[in-house]
Amino acid sequence: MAQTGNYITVDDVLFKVTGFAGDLGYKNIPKGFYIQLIADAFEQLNLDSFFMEGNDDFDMPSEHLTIPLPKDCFNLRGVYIFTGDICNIQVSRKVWHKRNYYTQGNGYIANRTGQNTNDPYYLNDSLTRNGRTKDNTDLIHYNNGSNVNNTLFYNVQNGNLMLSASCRGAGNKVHIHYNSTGCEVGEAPIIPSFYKSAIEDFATEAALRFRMANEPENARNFMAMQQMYERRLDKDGFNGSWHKAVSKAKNMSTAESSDLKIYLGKAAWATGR
Amino acid sequence: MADKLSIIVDEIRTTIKQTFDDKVVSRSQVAYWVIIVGNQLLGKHIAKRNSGAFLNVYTVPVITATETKLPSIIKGRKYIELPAAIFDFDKDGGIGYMAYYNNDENCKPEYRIKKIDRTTPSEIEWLELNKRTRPSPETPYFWRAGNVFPIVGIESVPIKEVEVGIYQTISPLEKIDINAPFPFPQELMDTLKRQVTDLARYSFLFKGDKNNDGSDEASDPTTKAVPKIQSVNQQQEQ
Repeated sequence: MAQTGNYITVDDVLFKVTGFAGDLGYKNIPKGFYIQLIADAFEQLNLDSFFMEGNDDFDMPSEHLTIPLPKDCFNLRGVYIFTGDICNIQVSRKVWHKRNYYTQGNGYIANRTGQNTNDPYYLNDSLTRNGRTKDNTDLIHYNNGSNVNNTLFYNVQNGNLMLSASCRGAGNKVHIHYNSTGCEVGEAPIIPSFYKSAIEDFATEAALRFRMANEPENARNFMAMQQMYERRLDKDGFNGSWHKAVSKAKNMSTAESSDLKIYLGKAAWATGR
Repeated sequence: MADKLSIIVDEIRTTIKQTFDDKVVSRSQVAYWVIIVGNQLLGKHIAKRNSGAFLNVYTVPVITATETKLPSIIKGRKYIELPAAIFDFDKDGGIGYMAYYNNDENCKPEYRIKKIDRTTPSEIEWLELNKRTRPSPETPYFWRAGNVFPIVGIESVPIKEVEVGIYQTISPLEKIDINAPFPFPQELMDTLKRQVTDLARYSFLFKGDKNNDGSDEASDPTTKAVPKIQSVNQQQEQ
C-alpha cells in the first residue's frame, strides 16, 4: 500500500471545483452540497482502493458479546482480544472468523457447534474428533483435549461483531483492524494528495450534472463540460484520474516491496521457523 | 460623477420646449418619466454586467417577530427588512450578497464574514436532508417574501445585524433628492434622453381635454366622435 505524508483539505478541493463548475459564490449550488460530493468521492475511492485503514478498541461486551462496528468500517482485517489497555497491552490473542455464527449473548447458532449429535455431515466436535487420524492433525494446531468452544471466534452480521463466549475470559479489551471509508471530511487535511485530481473531477462532473438539472436554459452548455469531466474521470475505465488514483493508492511502497522480496527469498518462511 | 436628476430633467424640458409658463408637461412629470425609464435601463444594465458600480451596501438589524403580521411576518422568525426597493432579478438577484460577522472568529480580520445564501421555502426542505446543507449558523440561508427576508439557521444565535449588498431601484419621485447625483450609467444617458423624449412626443399626440363651453356639438360635425370599430360594409358618414 502506498504511503504519503502529503494530505490536503476539503477547502483545497473546493477552491478548484467551484471554479471548474462556474459557481465561485455558491450562487447556484449550496456549499454543503459540494462538500458532500467531495466526501462521496473520498469514500468511494477508499472503497475501491482499500487505502484507508482504521483501528478501534472496545471494552469486552461480556453481557451480549456484540459490538457495533465503526460507521466507517467496510472490511474487517483482523479482530484481537487483549488484556490491559491500549497504552499498555499485556497479552493479545487473535480471534478467528467462524461462519454462520450467531449469538445474542448466551449460547449460539452455527452449523458446527461442537454438539452436533447424530449429524451425518457435521461431526460432534470439529477440532478434537474431526475424523482425521493423528498423522494429519498438524493441519490444525490444537492442544489435546481442547474443544471448538475454547477457540476465540467471531462473526459479523448487519454491522454487528459477535464474539464467542470463550472471548469473555480472554481479555478485557477488543481491538479491531479494518478498512475505512475515511473519516469525516472537514477542515483537517485528511485527503491523500494522490486522490486530488480524481476527487476534483468527480465533484466537478457531479456539480455540472446538478446545474444541468436546475438550470435547464443552460443545460446544453453544461452538458459539453460535464462530458469533458466524465472523460477526465473515466470512473469505470482505465484511462482517467479515478483509475490513476486507485492504482497509486494500491501500489506497494518501495520499502514494503523490497522487504517482502527478502522475506520470500528466505527458505525458512515455509516451515514457519 | 453622475449628473444630477435636475440637470437631466431640465435638459429634456428644453429639448421638448416645455419651459414656458403655460407648459403642457410639468417638471415633475419629466422627472417621473426619467425615473421609470431610468429604472428600466438601469435594471437591464446591471443584469447584463458583472459590476459593483451600482451595488449599495447596508447593515440592517435582524428582527425577531414577536407577533404574526400577515402577510409575510410570522411570530418567532428572524428576518430583515431592506432600506430600499430592489430590482426583482431572477433568483432574487437584486440581493448581491448577505452576510453576518462571525463573533467566534474575533481574531480574524473584520471582513471575516459568514455568507448567507439565498434559498426558497421549498428548497429548505431539500437542504434539511443533508447535515452539510442543513440550515445552521455555519450555513444560514435567506428567502424572500415581498419586502421581508426571513433568515433560517441563525435561530439559536444572537446575531444583531447583517450586512447586505443590494441593487436598488431609483427612488420614487416623492423620495428622491432631485439635486443629488443620479445613479445611472453615463453611457446610457443618450438612450434615456431619447426614450423620455419619445414619451413626451407620444403624450403630445393626445388631444387636450374637451372644455364644456355650452356649444351644441351635434350641430358641429367637426367635433363628432368617430367610433373606433366600424364595419367595412358600413357607409362612411359624409
